[in-house]
Amino acid sequence: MSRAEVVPLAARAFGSELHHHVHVLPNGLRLVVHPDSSAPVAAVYVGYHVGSAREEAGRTGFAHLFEHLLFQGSGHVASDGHFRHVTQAGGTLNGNTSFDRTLYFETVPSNQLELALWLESDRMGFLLDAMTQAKLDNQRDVVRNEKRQNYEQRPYAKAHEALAAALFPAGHPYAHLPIGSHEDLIAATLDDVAAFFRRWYGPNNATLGLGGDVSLQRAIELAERWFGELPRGPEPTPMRAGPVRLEREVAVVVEDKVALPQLTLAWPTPEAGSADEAALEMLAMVLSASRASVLDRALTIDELLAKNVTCDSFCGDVAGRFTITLTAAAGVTLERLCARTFELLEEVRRKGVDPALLQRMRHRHEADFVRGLESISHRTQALVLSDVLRGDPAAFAAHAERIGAASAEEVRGVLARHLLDSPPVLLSVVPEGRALDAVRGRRT
Amino acid sequence: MTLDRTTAPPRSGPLEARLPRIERRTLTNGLALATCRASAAPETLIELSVPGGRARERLDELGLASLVARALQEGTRKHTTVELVDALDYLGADLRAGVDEDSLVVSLRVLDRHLGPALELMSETLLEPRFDPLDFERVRALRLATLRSRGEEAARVADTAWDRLLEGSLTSLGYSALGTEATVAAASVARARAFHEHSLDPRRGRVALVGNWSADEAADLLAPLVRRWPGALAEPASSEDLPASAAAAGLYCVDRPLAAQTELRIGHRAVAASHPDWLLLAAVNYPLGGQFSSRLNLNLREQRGFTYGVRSGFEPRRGPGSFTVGLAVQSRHTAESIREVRRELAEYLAGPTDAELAFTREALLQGLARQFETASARLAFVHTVERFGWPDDYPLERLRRLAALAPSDLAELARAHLHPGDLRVLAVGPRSELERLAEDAQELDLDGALLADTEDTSERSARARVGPLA
Repeated sequence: MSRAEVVPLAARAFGSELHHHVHVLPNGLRLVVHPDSSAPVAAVYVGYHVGSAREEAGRTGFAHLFEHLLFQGSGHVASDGHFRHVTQAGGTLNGNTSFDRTLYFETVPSNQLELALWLESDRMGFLLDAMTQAKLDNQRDVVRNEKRQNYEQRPYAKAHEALAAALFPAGHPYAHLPIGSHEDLIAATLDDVAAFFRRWYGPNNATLGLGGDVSLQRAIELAERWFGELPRGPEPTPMRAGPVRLEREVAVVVEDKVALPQLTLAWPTPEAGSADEAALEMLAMVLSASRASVLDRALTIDELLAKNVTCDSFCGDVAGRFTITLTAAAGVTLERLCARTFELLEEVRRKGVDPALLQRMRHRHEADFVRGLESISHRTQALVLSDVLRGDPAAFAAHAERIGAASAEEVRGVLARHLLDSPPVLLSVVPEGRALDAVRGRRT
Repeated sequence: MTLDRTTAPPRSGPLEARLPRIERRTLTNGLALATCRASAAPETLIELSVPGGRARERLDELGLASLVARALQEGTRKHTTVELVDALDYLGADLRAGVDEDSLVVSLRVLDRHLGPALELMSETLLEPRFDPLDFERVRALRLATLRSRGEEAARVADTAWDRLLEGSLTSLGYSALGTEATVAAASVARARAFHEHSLDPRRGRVALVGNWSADEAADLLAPLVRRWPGALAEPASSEDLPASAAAAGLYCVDRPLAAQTELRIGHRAVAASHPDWLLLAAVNYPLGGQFSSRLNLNLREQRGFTYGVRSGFEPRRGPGSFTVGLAVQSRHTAESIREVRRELAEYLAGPTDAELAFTREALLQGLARQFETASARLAFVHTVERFGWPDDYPLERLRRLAALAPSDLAELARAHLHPGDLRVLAVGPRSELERLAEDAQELDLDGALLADTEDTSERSARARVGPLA
């Protein structure tokens, strides 16, 4: 049941092997072990293959609210037990929720590994024994303050919701953000909590990662001791949605308390694992990973049209999105910024990607990859996320290799297919009362 | 075998945490080197500090230190901005410059196989910056744009105003590190160049290096840098003691009438990092607001749901430090949150409970296990030891001292270093919410300066005059 793998690019970068082993328990829980005795720590990561994409209409924000409730105690753990026990043990802990997965984690001194397993297995097996209306009410208030703090009080952040809704049709799994709406959070009930837990939080929809100062044999023994008796949940079914394509360009305007207007160009792209995923990530680097990338150099150094530029490629379980976000320099209109950005993109299509720039981005990618695996916790997290999202803990490294291997022609190809030959969302964030400054459409 | 889930499983054995060993050398130009090994990844991290921090800025040149740091990254005598960035990208190197109160800090992080050429670029950046007037104009324009949008984020407004309340208006530390629109507009390349040259004194510089290297190997790696950096041109600046000018205790407000949340900062000035009690202050604060299960967080987040989270802490500085409680609360709970924080602080003067002290001791001891795992964690450790002159084993020293203390000793420390009767309370949010408190709020502008209030009662004017903020 157990096999060992070595990750090639990581092996080269670390000068040693990034070992991991996979072991599947009879109840379907996938165990990924990353033994590393370089420091007396143990990392425990539990990834559930469920996120906001699984939420039903009228229940947005639920997966994330639910993540909060998993820190409020369970059958054998007091309501403040998770934080108290792990902190007292000298550990750290947290959780996070995105479209496709929810992650819970503790990093503890290795002599306290079993403490973390006790806590994680108890909430996987016995959460509902301890759930109360008072806990739900309290964490609902906390989450609504999280939304106020991170979205409503932060400049430009209100636009994230509008962008998701413009890129994907209503009802699409990615058409709303994990943070959800205030109305839906208010509407969440204890019955929703129980139903969501029973549907998605079984061991057969989860991966348990154990990294650090623990042997493979002991890791398997401990995982079986604490998780082995938990019953299997319903089998997860694939999501029915897929990638989308916009019929026509969509212009969206958001007014915000900001001095400088900002334009986001966004396109729907394919899902994770598709042939273009790696080239899209390299395209984002070529356009904006460095101050000397194509858009940054032209817009922020040579021509001073933008205060700042970022690009991002995200490919999820069922679809993806590519975004270019441009904050205008003082006195520059979004129309002009938009037109010049498309000229620069067209120039890359016409002339191809500069091979020297591509080489520099490959080196930067490699350095970023090494940095991203700096600690036992980082490495355990990478293996678990890869297992949850790609069905194989080693897939993230193979994916990183593919990003580094994307050719100039492939990068130009995805630029043409997914950006230039596809209608975008043009999202303008403008100062309050200045809706007329928004980009209404692209002059071509 | 039946599994007992009712109690937490015991530890599997004793903890084997070791502190990293710091080794030191003085390089031939006087630069102090401190190194520590980290061998998990084939990377080297270097942090070089020279005395060019914010404290050296005159009040008519606020923001200059950070403008210099920014300008250093815009090219060298040999390389334009784009050439420098291209060269760093080719090496996959991160080279940054920044400032704190005391120092201008240039840092490098790079894979070992590119270390040589990356160090060369680091030397050029530090010693031979380009300071091209066109580049400087670009840096200035960007900075002015940032300053003009400084009111957009309540947390940033609160942090700036808080510095003013604690430090006063007579020192650069009472202002944003970014400077003001007027001082940034007036900054010149010539002044930036002079400020930079004045900082380049290797005898008062420090370099921390962490990687797969012994101290001697590290010294060899730095030899080319040392050779082209012969020594001081300038006399060390005398550090003069500025008159204390912090704001008086009381309630202060930056009004944001429709804000969904109020950013709160509550606290006072505290002792310098060199104070004999300093190492214990983290333990004093731990049960109060130093971690998730603290009194403040359990009350305001887990019991009342007013906030996404609250923390308190003592900020270490070479000069006087500070104690601050920081949080963002739903606006309609502003007054109650302030009352609760004040109440918690007052009650904490009785000291932690036995259980809280035991919790703190265990958490700090066990926490050593994961504190030094990575190269960046080790670099931060070396940096802290060097910056504040703490002993190399200060985390153990703290635990030794803590082990000898009873809760009553911690109560005494709390009474010596926490002053709930002398709090500055800053609220950045709807002023109307403060009307529920039985005291007047003095209104501040975006930079934390006291607004002239034409409707002032004489009592309030009198109080305002006591403050140094006008």
